[in-house]
Amino acid sequence: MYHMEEKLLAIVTRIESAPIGDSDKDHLYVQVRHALQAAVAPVLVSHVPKDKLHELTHDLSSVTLDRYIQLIAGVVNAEGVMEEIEASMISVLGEIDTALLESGV
Amino acid sequence: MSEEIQSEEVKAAKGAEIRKKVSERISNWVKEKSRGIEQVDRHAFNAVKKKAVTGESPQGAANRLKSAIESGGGVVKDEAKKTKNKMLMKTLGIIASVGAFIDPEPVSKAALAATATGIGVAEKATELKAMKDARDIKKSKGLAPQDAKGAIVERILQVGNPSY
Repeated sequence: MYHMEEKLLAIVTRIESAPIGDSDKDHLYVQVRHALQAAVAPVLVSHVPKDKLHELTHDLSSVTLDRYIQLIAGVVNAEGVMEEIEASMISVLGEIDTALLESGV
Repeated sequence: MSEEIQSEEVKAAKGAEIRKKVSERISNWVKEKSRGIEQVDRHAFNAVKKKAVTGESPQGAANRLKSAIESGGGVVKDEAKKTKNKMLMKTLGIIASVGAFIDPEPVSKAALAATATGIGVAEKATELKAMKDARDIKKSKGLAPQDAKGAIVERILQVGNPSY
């Protein structure tokens, strides 16, 4: 199984076996999802060409989904960026893992 | 106080403790990760992302973005590189599933707010319902524990995805 999925499955397994209510488990799953989202943005922002970004910001009315896709695809397809995103996601899952461990789960 | 009530209270306290710990960890991680990134760039990026996806179907936008990235990958001939590329495509699928490219909500802000209140990242009723649905799979289909966990993982990745 793919590394990130393995990590995710391990986290879910531990949450499922935790002595807590279903609603708390559901909240934890939402947190996991948000954490994965949060792991991507900083990498994108750090690699996005600043001149292009600010050009778009100065004329927000010109921003379309196509232009955004072009911007993001350019960033993600650059050498090493995808690996960096993946490492970032694995890193945040590691934090969740540690938090569960600290809680005795 | 009955044993049952006491046990529910213990469960609730434990749940709150775990949620708070997870929330704090994520929040600190986000803060650390964002260090060195200019706030003006972050705001600019969020503004552009928000404007780009306004009025668009989140799933449609995510799919188009995923296709654009996939098609930009080029032809890979080397076998080792091919395997690596496959892994990266899988990552891309996960990213698209969690809506990280298109979600207009600044997650770090939500995570920080959650730490302040200690109740976890902002509630989203639909997401919680989706999680509940995943859990119900276990009950209704009588899945083996591992399958049920797999279904939850899948749901974490697919939640908010109308095509699921």
